Amino acid sequence: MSTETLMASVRELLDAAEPVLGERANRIAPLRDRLDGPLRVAIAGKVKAGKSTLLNALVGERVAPTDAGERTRIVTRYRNSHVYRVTAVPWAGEPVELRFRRTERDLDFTLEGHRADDIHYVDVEWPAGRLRDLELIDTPGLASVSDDVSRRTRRFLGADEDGPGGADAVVYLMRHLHPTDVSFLEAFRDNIATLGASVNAIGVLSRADEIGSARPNAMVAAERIAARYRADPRINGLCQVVIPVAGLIAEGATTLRQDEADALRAIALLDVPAPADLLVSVQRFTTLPAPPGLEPDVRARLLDRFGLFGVRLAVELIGDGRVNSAAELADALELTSGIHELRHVLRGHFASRAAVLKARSTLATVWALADQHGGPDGRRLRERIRDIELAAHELVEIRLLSQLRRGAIELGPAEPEARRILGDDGADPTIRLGLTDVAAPDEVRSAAIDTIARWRITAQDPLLGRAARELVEGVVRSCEALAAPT
Amino acid sequence: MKVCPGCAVTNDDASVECRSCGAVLDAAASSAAPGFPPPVMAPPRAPVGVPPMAPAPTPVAPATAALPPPIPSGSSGGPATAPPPLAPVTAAIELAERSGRTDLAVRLRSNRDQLECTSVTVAVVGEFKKGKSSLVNALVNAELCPADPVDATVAPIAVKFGEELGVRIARAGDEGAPAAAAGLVDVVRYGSEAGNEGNHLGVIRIDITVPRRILESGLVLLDTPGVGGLESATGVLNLAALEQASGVLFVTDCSQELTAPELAYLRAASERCPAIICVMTKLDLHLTAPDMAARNRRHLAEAGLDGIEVVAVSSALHLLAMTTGDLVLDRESGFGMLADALHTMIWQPARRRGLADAGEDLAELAGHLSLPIEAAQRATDSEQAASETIAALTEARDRVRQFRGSSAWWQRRLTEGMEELAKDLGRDLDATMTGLAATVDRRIDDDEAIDDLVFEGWVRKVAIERVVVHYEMIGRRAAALVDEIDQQFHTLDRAAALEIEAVVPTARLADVRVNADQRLLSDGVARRMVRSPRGYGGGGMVLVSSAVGIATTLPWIPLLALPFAGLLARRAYVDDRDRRRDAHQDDLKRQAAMYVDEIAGIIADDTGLTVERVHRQIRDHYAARAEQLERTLQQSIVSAERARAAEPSRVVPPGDRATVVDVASTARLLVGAPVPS
Repeated sequence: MSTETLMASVRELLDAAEPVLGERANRIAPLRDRLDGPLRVAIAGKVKAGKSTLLNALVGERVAPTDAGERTRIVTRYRNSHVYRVTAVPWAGEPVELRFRRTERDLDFTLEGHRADDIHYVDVEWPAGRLRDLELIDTPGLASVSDDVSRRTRRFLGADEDGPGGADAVVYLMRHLHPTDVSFLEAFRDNIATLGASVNAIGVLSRADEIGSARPNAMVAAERIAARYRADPRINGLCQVVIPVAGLIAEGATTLRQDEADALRAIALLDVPAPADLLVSVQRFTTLPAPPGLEPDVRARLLDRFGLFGVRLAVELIGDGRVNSAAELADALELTSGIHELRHVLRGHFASRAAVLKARSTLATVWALADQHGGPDGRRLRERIRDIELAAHELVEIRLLSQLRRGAIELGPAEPEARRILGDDGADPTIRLGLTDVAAPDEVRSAAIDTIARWRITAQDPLLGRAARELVEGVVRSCEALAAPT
Repeated sequence: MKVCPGCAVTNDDASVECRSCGAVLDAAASSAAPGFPPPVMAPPRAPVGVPPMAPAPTPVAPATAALPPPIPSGSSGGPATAPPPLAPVTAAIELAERSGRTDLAVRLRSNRDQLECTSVTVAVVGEFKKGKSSLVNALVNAELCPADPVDATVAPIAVKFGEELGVRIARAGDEGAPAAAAGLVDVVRYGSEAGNEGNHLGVIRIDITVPRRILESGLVLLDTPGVGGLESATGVLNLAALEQASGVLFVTDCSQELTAPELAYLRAASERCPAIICVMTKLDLHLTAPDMAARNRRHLAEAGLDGIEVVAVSSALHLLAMTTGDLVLDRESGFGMLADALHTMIWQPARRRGLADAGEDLAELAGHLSLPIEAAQRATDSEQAASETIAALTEARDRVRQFRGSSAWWQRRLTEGMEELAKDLGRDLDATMTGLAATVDRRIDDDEAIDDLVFEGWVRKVAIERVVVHYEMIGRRAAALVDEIDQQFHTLDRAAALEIEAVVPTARLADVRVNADQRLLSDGVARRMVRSPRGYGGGGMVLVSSAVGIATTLPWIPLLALPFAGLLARRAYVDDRDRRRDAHQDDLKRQAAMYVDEIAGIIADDTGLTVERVHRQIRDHYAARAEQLERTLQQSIVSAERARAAEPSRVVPPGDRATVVDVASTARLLVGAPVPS
């Protein structure tokens, strides 16, 4: 079954479910919207991990609150729209439109007397190109399992792995901690406790620019840390990749204003004080006397926006003549920040699989509705869902991958290849088969056939457990799909 | 750029050693600005051969290198840290040798060393990646400790004064053997995760000597591993080792306020070592530093820790200022303030304590030297005085002889006490390990979704915590025993002293003792114990704590590196199926139990050895003291008898008497007692 057929059968299922679900019928329309809408990505992590900054960088506008107000304690959903609108969606009752105001720092609104506990989420509609194929969900910082705020996050993200989740994928922000630190896995704490291992998770080593004291090699050091994290079996079991991102630089780059670029340029071209003297410390940067246009408050704002590392980087880029305009500066900063890589992975890992992920969460929701509805209609719906699930190998792949990741199935040295074939590194056939991306269709086909032969031998191992046998058969089936002429 | 004089390879400005041949590079030659002398540096050396000591330091020391200059105090009352007069001690050494008392001469020599310089160990502790190693490097202005944004320090690194750069690495398994000589490259290879992840090489300690003026005063900077954070096995060990430090630099950074675990650690640390400075690093990156410092002061005050000074610094700025000679920048780095705090809050009190300890020894030594002289003096007065003096001395000598005998009360009491202790320790260990096993099982039952590695770290931490408590019990009990014996000995000492009191007005041992006890009492349990045998000149070294020394004697490395029976399961443990979970839990329990058993075995063996060692040290210490006392009394009897038969002027040269009076006055000055005119 191809992805298109899968989506078609899910849509047919929704059509069939609507008339028989009675009072629950009104739950179907949102599911249909969801199926047609963009992928929903939640951003999670500890308080102060830099969630809002990263979200702004992904949106390309300063919309998320970066201070510690009540708004950082509720779930906020940001989606593309043709209007600017902010709506509070309560757990019970009608949505309420909220008044809002755009400031230089963020999008300012209050809950207008509603209690944070009563609000399911706040819906922010915002015309932004970057939100077109990605909807972002800002979650309150995960603190402790018993914490109110993190409970709200968990309620939104979904009760369990197969349950009706509010997000299709999760980006976890991690701090730089030593792997033997008891709080090393804190970013995933709630995930471990309630969500189960996720096939759709990415780790981000946030605030990468602060590593190594804002020296030029900060991003190199951050990459080394990320590599170490990726190699850690615990992290590896929880998310596909770990990417270092300097959130502040990314945000600054995507929202760079001309006056800021001008000020940075003026600093880079200063004679007295020399840029190097100015950039020695934040104290000198904000206090040394400088010509008009670079008053201390102007510099303090630059520091606030880009951090010392960002300002140093920008001044270096301009001073070396590597960038000659605000646009070029923004591009160069963005490149260093690691946000490109994050977007790339979001596209590669999530977007390419978006349809399958959405189908999966939709089926799970309908299953829950049918279960609640009960009776022969409910039973028939559940049977139908079971049929779809069995027919769609894409769904099987996701389930098997999830089991492999969390260690429910042990496969020994063959595991990396199994994960790759199941699409762990990306859904593209060349990636799955470990070929270069220029491989011709013939090569792909013959590689797939070779691989099938090898895995068939593995499948005959009499010592394989039931779960492992199912997995190996799944791998063979994935290869067969790759070998089939398109 | 610095060009190596040995092999002509170009190195970074910050390099201390040539990256190619390992020769020491001379900072002074390359980058110091005129008028801003660099800290003391060894001259360049050829790849082969021993370099000479650096020429005398430069005329004006930079602000931070001025630490700790012997500041004449005296206005502040109390014992001074001004350089004490050494001439009387030198004269006393000569006197001791002339009168055949080589045993006293040895003690006097080490006493003079102690007067010249007190070893002041400052432990640098704090969470992972707060800049501990960078701080140590900045303080000595040399890149000695591996400071890397990614790789953490995995073993303690001590940096102290030496006339040339030297590195020694002590590893588990070669106790007793001298630490292997090595180069700076090896510090990275053995001391950091870059070459020694998880300290699999079993490094116990790395010692670096470097010719730096800041260290000449006896300052030893001890960089500690921050791996795993404060709440880990390593953190617990670092904490336990603070007992033996003179001061602590607690390192946090300016990015955020002190956290709850940090405050808890500071509270525990202050019980072990009260001289703590909270150093907030990375000042150059945070405009909010003054605000953060104010908050931290408030947090400390609320926690009842207002004695802790808070100083914000930037190691990067200080190093830059040292290279460029920018004095203004150096002021901005905060290192001037840190140096002042280090000087007044840690070095000065430690030095004062060191001098007072030395003074106490000196007073006793003066007594040993003066007794024969005064006895002779007394004997010349009259025949009756001579008889009385000789009789009193003989009686005292016989008592001391009795005390020395193996059937003496204190010997029996010590043996008995140690046997009791060994028995109690065995019981305590059993109870501790049973309790530990139960705690571990409970945790496994309670926490359904525990991560294996987190669990392992936690087990190691609680195990080490209990082991530390166990060893502290040895220390406490042995100290109580020593107190008891000491009292006996003290009575003996005092009895001897009282007999002689009339004749020796300048050195009343009892007087000095009382004074010293008052001072020692305020310093916590450890310091109340008597001094170590060799420590007659060793000052702050403490008999019992040197024998039970948490940092030095415990089989730490085996404990830390003890394999957790294959527990290193590859994955985060997440499983929905009960059966699997139960199996996993049983597995964890079994492996944790094996680990606990293994620890119990190691500790049981080591406990036995430690008790024996403590026993031996206490016995040897008192035996040596008693022997010296006996020799002095014997010598006094002989000199009194000689005096009885001869002219006083021939028996006691007037110069000797003056020497003894000088030494006794020096001793009184050092312990802060009034000097009789």
